[in-house]
Amino acid sequence: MATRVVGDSATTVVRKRSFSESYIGEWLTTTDHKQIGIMYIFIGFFFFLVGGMEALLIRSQLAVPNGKVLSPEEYNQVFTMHGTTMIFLFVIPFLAGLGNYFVPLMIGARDMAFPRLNAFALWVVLFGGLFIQSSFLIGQAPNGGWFMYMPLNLTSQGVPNAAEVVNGLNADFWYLGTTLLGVSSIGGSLNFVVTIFKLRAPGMSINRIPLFSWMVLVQAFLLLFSLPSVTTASVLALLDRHLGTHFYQYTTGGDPLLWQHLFWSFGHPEVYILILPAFGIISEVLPVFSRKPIFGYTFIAWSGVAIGFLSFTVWAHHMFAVGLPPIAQAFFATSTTLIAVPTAVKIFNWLATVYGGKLNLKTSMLFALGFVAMFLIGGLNGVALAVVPFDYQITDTYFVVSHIHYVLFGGTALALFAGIFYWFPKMSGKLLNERLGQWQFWLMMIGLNLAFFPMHILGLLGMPRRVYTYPANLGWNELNLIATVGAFMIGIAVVVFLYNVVVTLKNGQKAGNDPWDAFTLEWDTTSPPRKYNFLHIPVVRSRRPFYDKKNPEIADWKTVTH
Amino acid sequence: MRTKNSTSQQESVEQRVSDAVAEEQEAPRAETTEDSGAPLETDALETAEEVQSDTPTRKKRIRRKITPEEEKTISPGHSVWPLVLALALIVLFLGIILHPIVLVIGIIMLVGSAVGWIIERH
Repeated sequence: MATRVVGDSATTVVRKRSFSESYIGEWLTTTDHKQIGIMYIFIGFFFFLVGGMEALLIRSQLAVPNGKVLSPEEYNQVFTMHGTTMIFLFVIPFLAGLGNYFVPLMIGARDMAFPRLNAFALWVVLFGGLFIQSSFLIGQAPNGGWFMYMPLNLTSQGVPNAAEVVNGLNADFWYLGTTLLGVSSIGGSLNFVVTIFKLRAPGMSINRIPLFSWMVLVQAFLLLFSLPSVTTASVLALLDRHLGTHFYQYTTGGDPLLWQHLFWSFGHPEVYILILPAFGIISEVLPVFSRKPIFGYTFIAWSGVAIGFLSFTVWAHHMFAVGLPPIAQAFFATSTTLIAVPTAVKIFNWLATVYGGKLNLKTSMLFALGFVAMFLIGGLNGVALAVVPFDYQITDTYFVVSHIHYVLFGGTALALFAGIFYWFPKMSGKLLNERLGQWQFWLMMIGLNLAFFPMHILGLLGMPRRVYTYPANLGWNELNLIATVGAFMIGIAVVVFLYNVVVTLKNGQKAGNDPWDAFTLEWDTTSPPRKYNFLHIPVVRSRRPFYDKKNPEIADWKTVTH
Repeated sequence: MRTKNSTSQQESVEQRVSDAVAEEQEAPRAETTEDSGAPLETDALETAEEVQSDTPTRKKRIRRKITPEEEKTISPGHSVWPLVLALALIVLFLGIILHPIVLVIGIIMLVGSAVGWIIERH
């Protein structure tokens, strides 16, 4: 497309618009952290819908005994892809999106340290996600569970007399796809680390950065140190599958447990990768809607660091039933119990933040409070799992499914919605509808408790994980039906949310620059922010720089020293 | 990553802006202002002029909008190489699954896009 430009003389110069000046070209070639953040969020939310559909298929299959919605092979593929999609393609990209958008704004920077690397990481997530999902098109989606245990996921090469091995490309899609996504996460993590360490505004020392930025920083380190483990494990698996090596095959000198150790060395830090930025979101939302500074900033920040370190010492609590020596079990039981301590520190600090505050129960605040309650349940049943004899009874049952969904859905997903309702006005300039938001919140809260609480009892009654159906005479029928109803309620809540977003973008109430009277620098910009964020980089004198700017007489830096 | 040249370019842009003669009256606090809220002490965009009036002389804050050229200097640029490199990587991974020819194409694309990324200048 041509653009007319009036030159110095009377002649008109026609200049051809470059690709990056077209609407689509601008988005495809952008290196602006805000546009990249928005694309990450869209991609994450798209895969949330995909993973959600898979969840509804699972619950439809399990709603009644001897279900016929899915065949056993289809069920295996659906539950494997549900876990893989939700973890690798929803939560991580969504958190990356919020981090990309808001961390530079929060620390007073114009952009991330490496803008092109940022864009590269985004596109790898999109293509990697499409790569894994394309396995459905050829009917060979990964089908060995989201943690792809051995020797189930080896081919028949080098596996004599193994009737249950999986042939086909199913597992290859998983190993290659997660390796690809790991490349993206490593690029993104490097970017966050350098940005937070090197591009902070003047006066913003490391113990003045917002807690969301703190948690993103810890998460970035966790990704950098844990991803090599799963990448190595995946490469060894591919070698076993295609080149006849024997890393994981017991009959030829390998060890299937090697996979479990390598995988969970990534897998446990991974769950903290999923939850720490959610802690950061809650630490931003609760103070603003309680009209108080966060209680115990230092404890919350450093407990996050402690969780990061301890997360590398607990991995074998996923392996209590494999035959580890008692001394190893004792060590991992102790470390798992210990890691609950910094998490509890955070919960007490959040409660102390809310206590005595002037609460403004907007939707964002409701989701944040709901997070605290639901994550508490997930944390408590997690600590129960740290008790080895108890774990012997309920490992690989629906008790564990309940635990992971309370912490990941009741935890991370609720925190993400808190973040969306909090930051949507900044990103779009419009306020999401409060009434629809409240409907969504209550539907979601009731739905998730209906879906996941009965799973505690199902697990205690002995219902194993990853079974595609069950007989009618085991006493599991009603609880499964209740869980299915809850899952569909969550689905309705998501539809309400989508409707809210569409209606708001079309005709929503204008938000202004600071609808919540917030405290941190991202609110000291227009809504949405200009391309360059801050025309002049602000000088920071406390943990609440925007609060100080709005209230110079009672500024934090006048009363406290950080 | 910022280079010395881009840093000095940006500083001269900011200097030009702060030295510029005001072209408009003080803008109302809304989308048209570059910063929200009261300006900080370090905000050099505004120029202060003494205005004669019946009331005692007071300084009046006047703002000027940043021009597109100035905005380009302090905004992130566009680049097609991240997208191309990501595509190359996916072709390479598809080649591992599908066929060695696709793998070779992926490697060539990867090398080409890496070179394009490295030699790109803004």
